[in-house]
Amino acid sequence: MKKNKGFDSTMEKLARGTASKTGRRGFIGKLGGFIVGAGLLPLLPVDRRGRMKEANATTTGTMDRSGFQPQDQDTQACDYWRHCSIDGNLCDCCGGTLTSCPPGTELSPSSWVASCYNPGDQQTYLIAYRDCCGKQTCGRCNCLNTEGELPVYRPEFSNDIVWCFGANNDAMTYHCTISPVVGKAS
Amino acid sequence: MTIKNSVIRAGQPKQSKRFAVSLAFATILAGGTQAVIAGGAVPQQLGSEATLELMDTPTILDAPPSDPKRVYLLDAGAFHMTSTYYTIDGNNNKLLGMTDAGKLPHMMLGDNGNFMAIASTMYSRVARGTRDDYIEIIDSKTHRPIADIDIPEGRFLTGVMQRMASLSADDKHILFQQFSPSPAVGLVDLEKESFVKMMPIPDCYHLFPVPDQKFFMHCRDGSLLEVSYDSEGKTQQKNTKVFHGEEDYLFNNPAYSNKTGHLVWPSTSGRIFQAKLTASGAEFMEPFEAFTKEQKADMWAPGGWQPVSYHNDRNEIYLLADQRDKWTHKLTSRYVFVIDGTTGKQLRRIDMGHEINGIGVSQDAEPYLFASSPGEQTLYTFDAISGEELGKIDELGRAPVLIYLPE
Repeated sequence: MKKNKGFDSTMEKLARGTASKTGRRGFIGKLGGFIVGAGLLPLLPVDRRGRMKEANATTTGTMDRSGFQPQDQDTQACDYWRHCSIDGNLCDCCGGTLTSCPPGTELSPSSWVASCYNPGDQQTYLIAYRDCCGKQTCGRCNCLNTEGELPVYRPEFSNDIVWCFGANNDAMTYHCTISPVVGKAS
Repeated sequence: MTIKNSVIRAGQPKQSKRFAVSLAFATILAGGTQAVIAGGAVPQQLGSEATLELMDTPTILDAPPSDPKRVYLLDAGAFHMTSTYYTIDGNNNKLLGMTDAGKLPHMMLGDNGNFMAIASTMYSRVARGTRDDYIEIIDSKTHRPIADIDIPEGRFLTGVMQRMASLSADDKHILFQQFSPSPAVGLVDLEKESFVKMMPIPDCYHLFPVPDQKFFMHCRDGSLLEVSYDSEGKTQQKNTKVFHGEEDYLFNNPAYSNKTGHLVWPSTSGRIFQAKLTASGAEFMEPFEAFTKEQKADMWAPGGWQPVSYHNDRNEIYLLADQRDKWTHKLTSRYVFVIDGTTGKQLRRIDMGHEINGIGVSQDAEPYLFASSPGEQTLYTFDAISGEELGKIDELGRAPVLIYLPE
């Protein structure tokens, strides 16, 4: 068996030093206090607002008058690069994903388009936004982005239209929007 | 159109008819011995305390007659299924009443504000099911419907735009825009309270009526389409010259007067286009820049959802603006620039101190400027001349934006 004299002697010194400075009763008392205190810790008031905020996430990345500043990390934030021309609710926050509609909705076959810059690979992509239809407005992650957005007389670039045309006629109402990529814009 | 003292008749919703038949059948089955099972009956299980005679005398009020400072504010939510029009006395920021509407409705004020026509869309199962489009005529004093007109299920559903439906200049017809399956304008005869026809049109948008059964629309190429129509919905159409360039992106909510035919239409960069529309044609004025080169260098530009209003007698353009980056044209602004409609000279600037998305100026001699803040669900009132904030009314639904004022 290999001897580790260094470790043994260190532990011996530590134990002797502790024994010479600490009485048995004092040590047991402090140990007991620690155990009881640890047990009481969960009962103390704790600021849990951070966790509540996480459970009820508010819309983030909202654009202001300084313009659209895209990021490529958080798909549920309004400033995620693919959302550069969405005026509505992100399906990713409504039970869907970036490219899929939530359960029970209908996918519109028609879309409006925009060119969005991805800061991750520094490329610009053509996005064909599709509305998911047939349920009440989702309400979560409500974004107002207007990068390259054009007036209603240029409808293919307008995000003010309820783009539920061609969906099952039962589903002409707006629920949320997905952001599928068509390809590179340049 | 003169408001008739009539009950709802033409185009009564199909659901109501079916409901009435079902109700009658149920009543017969019950042999008349049981109370009718319907929403309006007083529940029999209530004790007498619930129906005691009152010392006070409850009444149902009428709104006072409309005046130039009567404000109608639309809260359509964010593409929600139902909407609310708030009727507000702008003289004292008092809420007078409300009117319900469906998804992304269009209001038209007629007869100097004595009635409102509201084009709506509803679905039989809230957000799906059978679509039903209709137009209600509402008395602006009683706030009760006096006519209900069924129309084809073709209303163009967009973020709320004032000029996607319009009364004719003489209030005898209603025009509404269809986008799908093909562009068209619906014609409604208000005197007969009936739909006439969908009139095919090319790729043009917005409705600007002029006398003699004519209206103009704005087309993709930057021209106006002049349309005349007869009582059967037969049209004659021709385009005007192109009056703005492809890169001049015009806002979705211009200012237009059905009475004077004056159109004021800013671009997102701050170029102001104007036209005088009559039955004889369109007369375009020389466009001008709302902001100086220095102001443009400081990033001043218009922005908001309803960014422009025009005072007919004062010839003043009210333009909602702020310092902003490009492509932020639908975000709120904090300032209104008052500009002479002829010279383009800036007359004054109103610092509202709030994030405003829609504005409207009353047409009287001492005008008020009304400003909507969807984020605060509040309507602010300013003296349009001095710029002083005079008052506000809050708790107005979810996201109220569009302001309607009688002419």
